[in-house]
Amino acid sequence: MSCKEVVENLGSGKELSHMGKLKQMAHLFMCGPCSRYWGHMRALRGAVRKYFSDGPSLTDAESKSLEDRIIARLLGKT
Amino acid sequence: MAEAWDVSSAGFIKKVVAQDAASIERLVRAYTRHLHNAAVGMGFDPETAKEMVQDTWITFYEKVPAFEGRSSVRTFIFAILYRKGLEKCRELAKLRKHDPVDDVVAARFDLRGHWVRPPASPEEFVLAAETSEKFHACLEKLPLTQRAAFTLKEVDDLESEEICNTLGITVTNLGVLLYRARNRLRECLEVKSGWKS
Repeated sequence: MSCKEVVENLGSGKELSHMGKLKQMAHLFMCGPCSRYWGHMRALRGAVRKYFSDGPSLTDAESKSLEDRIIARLLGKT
Repeated sequence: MAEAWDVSSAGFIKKVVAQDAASIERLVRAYTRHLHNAAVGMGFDPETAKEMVQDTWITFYEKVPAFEGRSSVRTFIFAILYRKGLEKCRELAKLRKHDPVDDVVAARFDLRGHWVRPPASPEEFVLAAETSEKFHACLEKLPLTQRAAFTLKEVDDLESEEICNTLGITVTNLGVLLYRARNRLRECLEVKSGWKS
């Protein structure tokens, strides 16, 4: 398995066979740059979760107000 | 009673399909903020995201009597939101045959598939990724479909099948979108980390 193939697998989240997973793990264990790349993938996951939990989202009051508007609009139909 | 309030229980779904007011209210309270987060995650500003969330609930309410339970209610609702987002941007779920990021990644390897420009050190990269402004600037550069696939996978933790249903794409296309999203973000953050290989 080449470094490029490992990067393609890790980037796309491709499902590998049992043998494929073993080969990839062995490659990651021995290859510094690919191991770094794998670390970057894990860091991206952590960063995007942190970004959305710290969030560009709604405050409690804004969320409640939006929910109230939606409920009034929907249930006005019943 | 507890089972009836579990939003994934059969009893609850039955009530939702029958447009039971209390159950609909429960769903709106449970998912409105998540929907807003998802819309912002797709790249819409907070006000546009609010409008999209309202439109999503209206469409959901109209369509829910025909809901057959083949996916979860959550997936059903999020699918409506993502379809609206994609329609809004006229991108639909069409996959570009070529993306410049493919060339950027390819240029980092030699003909035998070995690194010629290895990745940045983990410490510098993590520092850049965890700096909100840098991460935001890089996330903004992702095309909508890549951004949607990436956030559904990494933030909403959906299974690949659910993401494919939501975005109306194949598993192969999802792999391509995730690959491009992750590499575009990675390359951007690497530059912002000041890494020079």
